[in-house]
Amino acid sequence: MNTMEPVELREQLSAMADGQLSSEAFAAVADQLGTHEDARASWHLYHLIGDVLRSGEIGSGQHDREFVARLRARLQAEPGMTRPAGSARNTPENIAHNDRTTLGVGSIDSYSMPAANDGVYRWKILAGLATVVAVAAVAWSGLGSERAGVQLAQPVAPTRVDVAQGGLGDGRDANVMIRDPHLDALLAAHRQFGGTSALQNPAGFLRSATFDASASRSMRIPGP
Amino acid sequence: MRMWCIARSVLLWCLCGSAGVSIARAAAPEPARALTPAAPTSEGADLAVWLARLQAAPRKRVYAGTYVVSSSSGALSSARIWHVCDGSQQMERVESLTGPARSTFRRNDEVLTFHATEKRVVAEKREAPGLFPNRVIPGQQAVTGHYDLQPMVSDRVAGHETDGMQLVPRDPWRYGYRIWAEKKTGLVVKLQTLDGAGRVLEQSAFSELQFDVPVKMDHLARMMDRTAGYQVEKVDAVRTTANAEGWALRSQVPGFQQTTCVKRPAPAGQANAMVQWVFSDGLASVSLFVEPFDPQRHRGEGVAMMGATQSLMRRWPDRSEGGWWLTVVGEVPMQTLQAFAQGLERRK
Repeated sequence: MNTMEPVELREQLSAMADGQLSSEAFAAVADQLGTHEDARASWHLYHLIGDVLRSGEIGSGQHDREFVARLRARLQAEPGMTRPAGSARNTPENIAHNDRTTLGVGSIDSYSMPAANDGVYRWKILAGLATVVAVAAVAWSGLGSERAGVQLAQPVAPTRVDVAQGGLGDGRDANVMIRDPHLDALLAAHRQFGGTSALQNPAGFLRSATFDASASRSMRIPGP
Repeated sequence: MRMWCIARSVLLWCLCGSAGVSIARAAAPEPARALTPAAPTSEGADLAVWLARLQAAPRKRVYAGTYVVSSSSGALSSARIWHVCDGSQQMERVESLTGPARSTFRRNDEVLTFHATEKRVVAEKREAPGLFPNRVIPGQQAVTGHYDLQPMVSDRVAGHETDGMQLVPRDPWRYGYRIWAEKKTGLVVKLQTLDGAGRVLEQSAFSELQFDVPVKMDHLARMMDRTAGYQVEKVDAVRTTANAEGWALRSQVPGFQQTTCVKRPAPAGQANAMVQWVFSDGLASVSLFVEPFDPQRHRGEGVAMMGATQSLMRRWPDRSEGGWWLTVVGEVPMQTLQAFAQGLERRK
């Protein structure tokens, strides 16, 4: 890594503090920050200047360095979290974890907790899966065809398990549930003319008037 | 493992967010508190008298309270209730405390629901027979023939002493009920719907209730009539008969009698109206909705469950072109809905 000229470095630091550096330049300056004591001093100074300019109050940033040093020491002293042995194999986190640790098989490091930002990959999987859920639900509503719906619903199999465990207590094999405005309208019509009729007064009426909330709207479970 | 747990809960949350499902373990079956009655009170007469008392109660009392409805899936709704009466008229105000803001006003059978955020009022007539004084409830005889009445131990609900009764169905075509009525007035303060295994599917109760509160009927009436600035939507249903619409039932489900049949105007761009045919056994009711099949509006066949209310959707009589779309809804077990669906017949 080339060492930058002090003037150039300060300019870059200033740009970085303003959030103007792109990835490559950002990485280069971050490198410098890690190795140069005076670069860090400048970094704090620029932030201090920015804070004072923005707030108009006397800023104080002199303890930052000591604070960071203490925090780092404490973090290093923290015992690493151990991963529970025998965890399920096929979870995305295990796949991600195994990919990472093939470089150092058997090393003690492979059993210590990965760094905080290591989860990014898993969260991407998660976000992707969540998107699949959303897309599948939307596509299902849009297509109106059972066959297509069933195929689209496949990627969300893990969610189905959760719904089945937590949703219907009657042990029925729960499918993906989707909102159905048409059914909502019919339920309202049913309440208008039916409801538990003999108990309609008042409990039945109160029940339907209270139970209209969206939290309790109808959920359709497409049949086999 | 921890990450996966978080991942799972986030997925669940996503599903809840996008679909509005509330996911929770079904309420654990409440231990049956029914006493073995020393002197069985399952006589039909007792049941009819007792039900009549329950129905008459709100016609005499003024009260206000907080009403909570929860289902076995974990959905919980609550509302603030005001009820007034002056002998001939009853008025009620129901202010939702959960979900989108709604105020529902009822003057006898006339119901207005104000959706404040959308500046929209839905006006409808409730045909619920229990709302009318001195009206014979269809299927009242059926109640006595298909349920047994069993007293339960007294309990306190919303600070009031109550008499508890359990209505045990005599066949698997209907659900059971536990009803708690306030001792002095007979007002129903708590109601549970139970499935065949004795699990609570849904329960509603006052969490707090005060009698003889200073609520003025004209005050409620003024609030109800304040529809200025709102778009009023009328729900129009025309009375008809199943026969006139060309529908019949090949086989009757035991205890269920026809109570009404209405025709709702076709939605914009649709040629045919929807027919709603309603049945009741005196406690539970079933609606059959029949409309021409429209692939744009009618999605996959299936079933749905909302508290004690079950729904069944299917193409009828089969998947051939030009058929019908049948939706059966009711506070009854799924097999009852299926029996209605299978018994339906076209006579035109």
